[in-house]
Amino acid sequence: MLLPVVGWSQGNRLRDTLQLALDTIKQYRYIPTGVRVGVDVISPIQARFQDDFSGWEVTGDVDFHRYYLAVDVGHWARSFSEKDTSVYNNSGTYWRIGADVNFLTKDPDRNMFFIGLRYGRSRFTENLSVISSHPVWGTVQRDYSNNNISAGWLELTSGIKVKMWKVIWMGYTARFKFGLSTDRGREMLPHDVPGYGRTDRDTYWGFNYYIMVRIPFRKTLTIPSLKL
Amino acid sequence: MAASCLDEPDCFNLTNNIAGISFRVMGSTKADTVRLVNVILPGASGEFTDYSMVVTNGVIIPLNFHENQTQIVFEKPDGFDTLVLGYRVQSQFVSEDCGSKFVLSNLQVLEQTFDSLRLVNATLGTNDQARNIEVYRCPVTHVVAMQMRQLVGNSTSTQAAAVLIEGITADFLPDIFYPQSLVSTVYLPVNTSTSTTSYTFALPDGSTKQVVVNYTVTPQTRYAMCGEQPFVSGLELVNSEFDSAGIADDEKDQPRTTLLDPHDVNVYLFQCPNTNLARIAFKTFTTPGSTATRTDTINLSKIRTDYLPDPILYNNAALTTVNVPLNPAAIESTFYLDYTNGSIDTVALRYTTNPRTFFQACGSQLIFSDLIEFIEKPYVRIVKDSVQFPAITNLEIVH
Repeated sequence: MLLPVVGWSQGNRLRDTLQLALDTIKQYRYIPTGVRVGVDVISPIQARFQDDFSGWEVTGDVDFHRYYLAVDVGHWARSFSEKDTSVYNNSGTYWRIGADVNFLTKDPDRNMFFIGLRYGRSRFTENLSVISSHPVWGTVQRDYSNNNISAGWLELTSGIKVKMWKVIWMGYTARFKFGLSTDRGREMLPHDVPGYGRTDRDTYWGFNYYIMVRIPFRKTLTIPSLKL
Repeated sequence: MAASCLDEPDCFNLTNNIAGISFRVMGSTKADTVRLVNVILPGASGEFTDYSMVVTNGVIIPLNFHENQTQIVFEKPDGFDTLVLGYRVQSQFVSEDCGSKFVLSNLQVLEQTFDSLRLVNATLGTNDQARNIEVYRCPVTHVVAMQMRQLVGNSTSTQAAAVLIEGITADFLPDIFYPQSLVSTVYLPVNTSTSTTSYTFALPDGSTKQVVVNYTVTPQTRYAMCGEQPFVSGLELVNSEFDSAGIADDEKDQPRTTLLDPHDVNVYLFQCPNTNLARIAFKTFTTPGSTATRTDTINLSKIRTDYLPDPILYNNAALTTVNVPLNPAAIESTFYLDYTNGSIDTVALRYTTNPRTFFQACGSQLIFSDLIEFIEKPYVRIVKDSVQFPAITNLEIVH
């Protein structure tokens, strides 16, 4: 007589336990499970082979379920000269902040294929020394500077981040930069914006390759296995 | 790599410091033609002689991009005008290949001495297609334009002709207009104190021809900066001692009886064509022994004929062609060309004449054809044996 009553009670407890676990997972899924920081390897390679460029970039992101808050910080400097009639150099820092959406939601390692959006901002200084000649107005040498000039732009991003071994991750990000706004009210119009590129281009393509380390600070909650 | 090359800007004319200035007359949509002695750019270290002794309806000026303003001085036969343009100058590095450029913007007129002026485009250009400023002058409202015309070919159509005159006088002024000039269109003032003006054309042969016009003068202030001006309309041709004369038609085939500025032709003065002018072209062999020839320039002192009492003087003029008048009263004419170097060429021509009426006012005129040498000279070649008007080359003298 008691056996059906006991079986019915165990089933209810199982269902209640499962529901509690699901509720707990849902409650805590948007709490970050770790932070990932990395360094761009393209910039130092570019600086190695390109005399007019030097720079570095670091990146970081933190997960909120399948959504990631991403931040990049970097620095670059460029210098150009044209047959001693024009000498240009700039130097400055930039940062980007934005969000990515991961489309590999079932991957247990949280490997990513993502699409994202960034807002970029740069503050930099540039200098230009010009010797200009004209058959009517003669030859004049002038120096121009833009000190602490700022610029902003938007980016559409896409890429992958893959767990290579334990906490080591690698991945790339392709960027479509657009919507550049700069301060055009100065005596010298800006030429090159760190983080964006040349100001005479309405859009720009960019690419970064990162080596990252992910620091977990809590386990990802999963549905527990029950012993009956 | 290929894409980056395509993305690089061309390095030509990157600095937009070119200002285009056009000349206009108030009350007209047509461009004005201005005689410039010079355009001076004070402060320029190099020469700017693009507009030295020219007649033009606009100028293209390179502005000084080392400063934020440029002064332009227009020197005309009757005085000077000044224009000062201000603008913003910003520098920008372009690329390693191109170097830097200067971007000029916000063009403004700071000072000007013209009657009126309009800024049509504050964006400067990089080449001679720039159009930025229109300069307006008050119209000259009391000038009548008269054009010499001549019958063309064998038709009744006419074309502008160049006529040598000793001068033109108006009955109300002491001045002599166009002294010893070869003219096609003449611009003469009308007497705005009356409604009629008489003009006397003095010709090289000592004769004179008179033209009398009537009109209505209406004093008006159409443009505030020009003040009251006499506007002339209702032009009538009262008398003309030319072979024929008439009021010219406008584009709508209406008589052009109003004096406008820019000055369109109001009066045609027709001249019966000279049908007896044979043209001689001077040639020389391209190389000794060759039969090929090229145009030669000679210095001619005078031409003597076998039927005119006086020689036709050329005062050592450098010429490539010359017209000789065939004797209409004979079938042969001989010409002696006296060169400055003392040598003489003889051209003896025989021809036939036929009367024909091309132009009612001219009556019957002779057509000269079948031109041949009746005394052959080794240096004379007959090219075309019929005389046409205007004259075409009938024979060549080859040295």
